[in-house]
Amino acid sequence: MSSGGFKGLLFDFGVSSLKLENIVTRAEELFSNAENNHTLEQVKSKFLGKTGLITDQLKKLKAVPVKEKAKLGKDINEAKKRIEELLHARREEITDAELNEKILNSSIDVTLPGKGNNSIGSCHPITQTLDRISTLFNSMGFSIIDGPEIESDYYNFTALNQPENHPARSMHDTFYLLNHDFLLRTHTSPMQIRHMEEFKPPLRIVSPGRVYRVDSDATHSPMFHQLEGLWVDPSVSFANLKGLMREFLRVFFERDDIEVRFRPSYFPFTEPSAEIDMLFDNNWLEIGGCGMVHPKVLDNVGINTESYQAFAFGMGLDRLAMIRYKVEDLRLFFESDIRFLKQFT
Amino acid sequence: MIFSESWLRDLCNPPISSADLAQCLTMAGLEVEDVSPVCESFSGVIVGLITRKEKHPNAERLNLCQVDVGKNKLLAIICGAPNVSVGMKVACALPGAKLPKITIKPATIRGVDSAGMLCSKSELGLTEESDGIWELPAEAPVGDEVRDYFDLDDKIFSLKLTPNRGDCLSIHGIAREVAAITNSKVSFENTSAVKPAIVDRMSIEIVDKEACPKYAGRIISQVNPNVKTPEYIVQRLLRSGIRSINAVVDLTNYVMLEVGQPMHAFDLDKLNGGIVVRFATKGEVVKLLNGQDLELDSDMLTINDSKGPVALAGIMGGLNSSVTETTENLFLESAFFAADVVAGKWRQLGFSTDALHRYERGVDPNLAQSALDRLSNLIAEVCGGNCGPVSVDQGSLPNRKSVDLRVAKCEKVLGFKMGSVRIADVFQRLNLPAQYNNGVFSVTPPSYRFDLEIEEDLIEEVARVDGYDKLPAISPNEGLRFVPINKKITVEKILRDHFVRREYLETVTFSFVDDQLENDFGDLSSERIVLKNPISVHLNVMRTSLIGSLINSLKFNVNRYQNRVRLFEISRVFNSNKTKIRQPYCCAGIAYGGVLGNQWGRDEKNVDFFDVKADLESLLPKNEVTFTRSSRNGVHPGRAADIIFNKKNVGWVGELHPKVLSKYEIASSVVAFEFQIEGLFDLKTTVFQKVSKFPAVVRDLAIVVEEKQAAGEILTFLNRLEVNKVERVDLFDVYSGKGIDKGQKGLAFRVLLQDTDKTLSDDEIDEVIGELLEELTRTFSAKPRR
Repeated sequence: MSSGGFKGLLFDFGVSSLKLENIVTRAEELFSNAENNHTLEQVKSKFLGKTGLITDQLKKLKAVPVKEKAKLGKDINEAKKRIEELLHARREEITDAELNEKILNSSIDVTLPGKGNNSIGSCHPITQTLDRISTLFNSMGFSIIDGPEIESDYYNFTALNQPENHPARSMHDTFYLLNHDFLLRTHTSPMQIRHMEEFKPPLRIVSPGRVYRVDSDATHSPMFHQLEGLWVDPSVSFANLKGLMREFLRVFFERDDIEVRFRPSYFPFTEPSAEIDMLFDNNWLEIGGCGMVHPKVLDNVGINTESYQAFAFGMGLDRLAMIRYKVEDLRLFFESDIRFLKQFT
Repeated sequence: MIFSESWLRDLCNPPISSADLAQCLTMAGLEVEDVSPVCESFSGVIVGLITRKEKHPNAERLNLCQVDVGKNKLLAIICGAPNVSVGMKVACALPGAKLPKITIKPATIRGVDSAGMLCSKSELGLTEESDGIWELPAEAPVGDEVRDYFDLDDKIFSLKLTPNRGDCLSIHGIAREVAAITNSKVSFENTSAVKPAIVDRMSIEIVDKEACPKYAGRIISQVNPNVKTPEYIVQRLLRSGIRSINAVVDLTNYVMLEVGQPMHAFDLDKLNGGIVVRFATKGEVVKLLNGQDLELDSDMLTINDSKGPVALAGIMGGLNSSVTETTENLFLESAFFAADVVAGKWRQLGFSTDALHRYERGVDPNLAQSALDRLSNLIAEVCGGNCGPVSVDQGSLPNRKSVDLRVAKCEKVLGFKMGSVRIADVFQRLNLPAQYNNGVFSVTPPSYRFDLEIEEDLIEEVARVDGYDKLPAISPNEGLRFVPINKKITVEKILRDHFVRREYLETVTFSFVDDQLENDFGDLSSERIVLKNPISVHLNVMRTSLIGSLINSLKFNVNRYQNRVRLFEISRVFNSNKTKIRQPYCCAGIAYGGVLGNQWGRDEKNVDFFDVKADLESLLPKNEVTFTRSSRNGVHPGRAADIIFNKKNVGWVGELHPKVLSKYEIASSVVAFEFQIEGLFDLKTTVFQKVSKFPAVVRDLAIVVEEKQAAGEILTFLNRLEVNKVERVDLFDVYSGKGIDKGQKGLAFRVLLQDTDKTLSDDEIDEVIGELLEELTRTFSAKPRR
């Protein structure tokens, strides 16, 4: 290297710090002008590439006297480091901006409906009513039991103190089977007998299910649902029955101001007997029948009437569902109209 | 039972309104279904007598009548009806009278003044249709208000009587009851004994004295057959729902309504010889009043003369011996028939009668003779005639046993301390003779109270007359205990939750269906269970499957333009072989229309077998359920599978048969399933399996097998194969076409491998996959693909 070169460097050195400053400023300027990463990389090579300004300075450093070499080297490295920092910062800026733009461009119409399996079916209102009632009686210690719908005359009538030709039988229009000595149960009361035959008292059961009568109009269906209840215990009383029914209706309808009345009635299998009426919009609606189980019925299943007392009740599930959901025509329950069913999700 | 309020109030007249009376009756167990006025309100209508009738000078069709309206007042009234005549009593509306539809004003008709109006029944709101001017009975007093004379402010009460209260099927019975519940007085007219005017009597013989413990009869000769029934009796009958026929029949009915004793009047001249009461011989025939020739059975009690049956005892008289408009000599029957004799006979006969209805519920056995006297007196009074002496045959009448009521027992059953004084008061109000001794009432019920037989009956009377509203409501507070979990209910809940989540709507349909649905979808191996008396011929068979009903439901919705329907039902089905009837619970569902419904950005496809199969696979534990090809009634032969769970066939899933569906005009495919829920009672409680800390490895295994080979079998085989480290195998592709020979198909499985102790090495994995392939080759002749 010629002394001129050295001299040049020395001369250059005088302005060399200044030159490094200029390089850095220049880099900053060019970096911020770069609009994207591609341009930025190109600009980067002008400073940090093989022929870049910083590399060039490093190459020239070899010719610098030892005395100044260390300081100058340090300055160059610092300048390089600063440029790298600037580059990095600019790179992030650009990436960020690009991502932001991409995100902004990918917005969707969030008001469009969801896709896939986006709805569910529903349980039938009678099932829902039954579930509700079962839960309530379950919580009072009643077991829920189930029985046959094709039933014998004995369980449906005779054991319930309605021997053949008893006039009370004309209260029920019974479906009979052809070629079989059976009938479709007209009420859920046969389950009282079946249960008391099988289990010893004390007993506490409810038995819901389908029942059948030869009857059909807006308020009568040839098939409908009842819930039978039975409580056998050494001292359960008529006043208890009234208390239980009132309390049940209060909780079922979630109203403390209900008006319930017990009206004398007649069922061959209870004595005394009552109808339970509830006041809705100034009309008394029949909710069900109930009474103290008739001693002949208890005799029929071998329960001592001096040691045990029992009460039984039967309620129309459909009636309760109609009241609860304000359904006015009973037939709607059995038509399978999906416009009706879908309302009960 | 319907009755006239004013008739009741003639016997017992508590100082309460009609509405309160109805409320009292209802709350005493005699439910009042309806109270309605006898007719609409009107005023200013009086009884008038037509004294002169002449043609209207200016109108051919009109008459000018002179009407005597009492108080020496004559009115000139123009009338257009053809049935007016001089001497006729009419309902005359005076000027100012308010009729249901119009108010009467003096008018000039074609130049002649008319001072009122003669009324038809319809103008007064008594009937719907008009048949001319209402002709009043000749005895109606001129000048009286028509409303008062006919007692038109009266109300008709309809009672829904329970079958135990036969004693209330008469106005006397109701009056007794009203007196008890309102604590008021009741008074019945005394029937004076009949003094015989002739000596003729009929011989009476009761063959079966248990069926007919008493039969009384009397001859009345020379009655006037042309007498009209007194108007007040006609009105009372009408208001009790009985039409007037002729005086004798009307009076017989009247006494029945009054005291509760059904009676029968024979035309004496048409009877041959004495009366015999006996059971019929099978095959005998009697021509009944309703014209029916009834072939008798040996359980039917009959009234006979020497030639054979003339009446069906306690049910209906015979036509040939009935009273007609020419009858002059009567034989009256008043008997006590045991309830058993007539009970349930209406079912056999296909009709009921007032007599049957009463005897079935029990008639007062001590009533026969006094009722006969009452009727005889009335007939003699109204129709004239000479009464004979009473003939009676009788066995032993039911003897009323006294019934004890223990005050302590009564209080225990009712659940509160009532005290003997309050109980005694009830007995006194009911007129029940009761003796009190040491905490026990001994009550001898009167002969008309058939329903009081045991202590509980008295307890009810006590509670009822005292008032159910006075009974305290005491919440029972007995020993609590846990209720065992009910498997059926648990499973039903699981099913409902599951199918609801999968978008099925639960429905409830009738358990009886049309024959045709059973033919098309039912279990043909079961004998039909048919109803003897269906509500309709289309609802006559107990269903063996729920599918038919669901198809009906689907059809209902398709007809209402619903194109996507999913329904399920849980209910019993009924099947029978030989004589045994089974009633298992089933769960069934159908899916129709699009898989998801129309959604944006997604092509809709119709539901197919695999969509519904997935609904079932997601319900049942994967490792314990398999599906095998099946065929059944109403189902597509190539697209149905039986569901095998816990090694038992619990049900099926499949596409319904297109040919059967077309019969129901259902155009696109329907996939259905049905299974017995009892098959799911063994759902096992989860037993926790250790979760490995090491990563699982997934390998694919592609094979080629015969096209006919059921893929499910291979999948089940792989999952059941106890190859170490294989966690689960899934099928992810079925392929045929390019690269696969004809008659073959490619199957691709994804095998999840897992070791609980270490990460598996490649060698170990290869070994396991090799082992699986070997098994597949051995069992299914499978070849590795590629």
